[in-house]
Amino acid sequence: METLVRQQAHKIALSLNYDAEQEAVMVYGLLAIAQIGITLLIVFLLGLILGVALEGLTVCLVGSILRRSSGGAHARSVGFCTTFSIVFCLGAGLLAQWLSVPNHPLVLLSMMVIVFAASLYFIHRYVPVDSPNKPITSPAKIRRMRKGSFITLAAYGLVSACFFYFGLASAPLRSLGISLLIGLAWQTLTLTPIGAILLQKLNDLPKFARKESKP
Amino acid sequence: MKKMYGLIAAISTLVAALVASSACYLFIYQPEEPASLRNE
Repeated sequence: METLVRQQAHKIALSLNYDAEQEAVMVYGLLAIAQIGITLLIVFLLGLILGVALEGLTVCLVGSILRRSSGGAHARSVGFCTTFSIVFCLGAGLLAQWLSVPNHPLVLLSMMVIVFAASLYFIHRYVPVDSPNKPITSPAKIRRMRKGSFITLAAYGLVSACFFYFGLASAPLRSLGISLLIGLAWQTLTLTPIGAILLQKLNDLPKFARKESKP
Repeated sequence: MKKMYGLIAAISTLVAALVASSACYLFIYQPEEPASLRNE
């Protein structure tokens, strides 16, 4: 996907007489559009087939919106990232739907308390988590990112409380509430060193599989 | 065709600027950020 985007951007840059920096900015934007568009579209379409379109999109959006301000561990290739995001969002959607069938308000409330308490702690401890490709060193930006993460978490808390209250009588709302918790838990995990190691190991899986299949 | 390319370039530059103001890309892949967008 990245190669295709770079080729098309180069063609457009040549046609518009753009310099290398303008082309790089265009590639950066096009890559974001392609990645977001493809991931959301496939999660929605496969989600419709599996009956978890809303749950899958909820997991996807909850993680992505918090990630805007919190940062987090990164994959090494756009292909792995897109594939992993799609599989994870749909898997989490199916899990949320399965967990929402029995109506146990106490279990759900405990899950909410644990996930939100852990998120609050790890956001306070690690945010913003930057990467070598996009370092964050300015104190003003660090403050802004931390504030943004806490505001997003507070908003999730309100939405989650609504899902919990109205979900007492509705399995689909319970399912969306659990999707929110799974999305938040995953994004929180990517803030921690354990999450970074886990993502690195998952990154190496395709390489390992290729090596194993060679005679 | 040039108008179409201009539109694509404008939209992608706008999205790049929006993404640059955040801590990272929305998903778990982060390409190298162009120097002109860096606000470390």
